Amino acid sequence: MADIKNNYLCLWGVVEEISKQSPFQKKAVLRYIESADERYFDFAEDLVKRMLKVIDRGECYDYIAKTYLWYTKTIRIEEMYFAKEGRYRYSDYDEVYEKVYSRDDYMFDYVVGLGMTQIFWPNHWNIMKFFLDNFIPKGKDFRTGAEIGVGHGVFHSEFLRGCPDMSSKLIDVSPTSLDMTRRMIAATGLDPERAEPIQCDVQKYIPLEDESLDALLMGELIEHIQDGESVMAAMAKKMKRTGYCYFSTAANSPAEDHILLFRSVGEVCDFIDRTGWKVVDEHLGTINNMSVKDAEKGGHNINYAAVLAVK
Amino acid sequence: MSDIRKRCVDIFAKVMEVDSATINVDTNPGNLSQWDSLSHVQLLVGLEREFSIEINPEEGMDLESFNLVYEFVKEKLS
Repeated sequence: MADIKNNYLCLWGVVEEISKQSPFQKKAVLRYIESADERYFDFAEDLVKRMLKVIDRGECYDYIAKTYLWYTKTIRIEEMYFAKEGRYRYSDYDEVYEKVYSRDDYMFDYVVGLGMTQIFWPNHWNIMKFFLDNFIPKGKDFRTGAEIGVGHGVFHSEFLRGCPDMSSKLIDVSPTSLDMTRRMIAATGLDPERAEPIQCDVQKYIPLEDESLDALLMGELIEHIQDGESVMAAMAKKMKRTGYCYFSTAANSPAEDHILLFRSVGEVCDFIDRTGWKVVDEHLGTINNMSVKDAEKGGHNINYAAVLAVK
Repeated sequence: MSDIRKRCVDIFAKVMEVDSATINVDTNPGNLSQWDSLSHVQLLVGLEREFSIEINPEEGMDLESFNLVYEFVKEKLS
């Protein structure tokens, strides 16, 4: 294992706090990073440094660890509900809006915790690598971009970093996410003025012209949307014919704000096809290297990421 | 071994896919590699079904040793 304690101080700060606070997560995190490579460690260290700048409370490793553990606990609680009931707890957007997105302080903790899953959940790190290796290289000619559901801003920051001639729109229902994303862009060493924040619920209105986008990010968005099909179809019209979309979602993936349930990869692919998109490249991930077939049969999590183009 | 303890051991063994002889009062995620956060969810669901009890997920997530689980189940049944 890399000498994390001496070479990746910020990452170690968080890992140490996680280890103190949770035996489950101590085991999971240490087991994972035991076999991680240099690319992972460089990214993870940089992400923690950026997150510390965004949070702006000094070396608050205990806070980062606490929010990560709190976030994973909310997931485990919903997993228990899903295991018993066979469905997500909520199916109504207004319920999750009231519970999660409308609460600014709650959202701050939520996106910090979620941000840390990018480096502590193997599937999320693999999705990030797919995004960096399979979507970003298409971006040399991107001039106009947008992201719906910006969250912690890590994807958008990498988007701007990898596509230096692009200006973009940040579209999110949460002012906290919009603010955090702009701060993450700055923490990444980029000009946040390149990304125009727009607070908006895309289920009601989409503030984009038709055929205006070279690139669109819709990562981990659609499972939060009640009428995902309408939104996905509407977004297809916003793309230039030569444009690309980064899309990710998950099947059998309970969370306190997941409302659109996919039970298989087939359901995700049918959804993509029905809404006017085609898959250019895709990535699948399961827990503990389970086969997709076993994951679908057992109702276990499957992560799906893809590069899409309009049909 | 009491019936409740034996049934708890059996649930652990089934969920973690280990020999029941490896489960004892000191068993915890630190010394049982199969006990991770995912199998913990399966464990709680299994205990609910076995004992016909309802486990509040917030309480259940804090049961981080066999002994805590056993004492919790005993209390639920008393």
